[in-house]
Amino acid sequence: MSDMLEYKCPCCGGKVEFDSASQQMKCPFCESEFSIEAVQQMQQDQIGSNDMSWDASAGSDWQPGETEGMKVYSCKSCGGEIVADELTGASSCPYCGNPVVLQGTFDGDLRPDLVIPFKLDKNKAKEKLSEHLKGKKFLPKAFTDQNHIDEIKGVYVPFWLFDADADGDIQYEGIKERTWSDSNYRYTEKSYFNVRRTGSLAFEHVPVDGSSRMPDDLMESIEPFDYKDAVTFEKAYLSGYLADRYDVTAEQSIDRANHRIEQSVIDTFRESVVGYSQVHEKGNAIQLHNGKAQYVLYPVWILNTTWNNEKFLFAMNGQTGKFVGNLPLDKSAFVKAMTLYSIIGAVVACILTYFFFS
Amino acid sequence: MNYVVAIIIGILIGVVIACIQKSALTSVHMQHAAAEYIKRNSLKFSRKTDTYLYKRVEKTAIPRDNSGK
Repeated sequence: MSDMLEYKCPCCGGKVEFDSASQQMKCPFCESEFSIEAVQQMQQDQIGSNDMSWDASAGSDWQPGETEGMKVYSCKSCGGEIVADELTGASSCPYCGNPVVLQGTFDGDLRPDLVIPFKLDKNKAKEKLSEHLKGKKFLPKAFTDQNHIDEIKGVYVPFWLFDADADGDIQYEGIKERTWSDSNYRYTEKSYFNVRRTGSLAFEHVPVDGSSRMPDDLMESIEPFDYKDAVTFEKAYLSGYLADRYDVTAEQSIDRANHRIEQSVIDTFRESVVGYSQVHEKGNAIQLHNGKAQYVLYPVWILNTTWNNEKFLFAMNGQTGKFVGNLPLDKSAFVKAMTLYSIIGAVVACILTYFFFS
Repeated sequence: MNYVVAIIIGILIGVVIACIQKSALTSVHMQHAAAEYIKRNSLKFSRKTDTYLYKRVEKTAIPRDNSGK
């Protein structure tokens, strides 16, 4: 059975959590604050003395094979058993709510290189949800009135960050047009050019979601994350939040990173082709080299709500506050509005036609 | 005929406005590219050529209105 990390306040013995506002570890009971380093030091002093007590309580309740893909942990505070899958790195005890960091999930070659700590708290997530619902013309009123959040959870989502240098060689056909007319004819002159762009472009920290449990489009929608706030990974940052380790490898993520990088090379090179009426790409060759990947944890607030038996998932970037989530459509309001706009549009167009063309 | 075209254009504008407002309900989508992750000042061209190939001229007769004659 894996061991668990808990961070206890040296002043009152309460559970210490990472506070996004102060960026320090904070005891919610006596409000004492400690640096990450101080908590780590205190924890190191404690690990040796607690380690012996767990040896006798391991494993006899489970048959071999029953726990495949699962791990069972006992909460140090209340003794409750927590069943978590092998990907879970941090969680909370469902009995006493004690935040726990599950050791072993982030050890060895599974250890993240970096983490961006949470900068925004749960209240900010709720506030952003309210803002997200405002001003949406075709949102059913009942959704806003009955809106209740089933669950809000702060999750450290595993990401792979890719750095690469891209060399591109792209060929275009450029067409310049000139028109003039005389009394009988209208002339269009088209001049054709062979346009070639060869060059290089460097990319850093292109993120790809490393968890199959997090929808990729939801995670890409809350980008970008500011890499400048990334710090060396310490388990203390996870306390008070949920965390998973990756189950999509860097190799499996490369295709998505490659696609985004290639598209950016195409877009950037295309911006340099100016002065033409038409531009058609004829072919491209893009090569990547000096590629490297980093394993990082990024902070995300996940909110679930249910309405009309349909689940809605929202996400907020735990660093920047960017909030996303698809909302339901009030179909009858949409059809009524579209009909009204069409009638108004047709009437205005007829009036303009009467004044200008009759 | 002008009025028929005007009505069609008016209806299309109405539909477009409604669809633009509807699109505000959707905020989840995959990213198109990685523009925000381009290293600053890293774009370097080793070749940037625009080579003229040929020219083509098309002419279209201007319709004449003979109704006044």
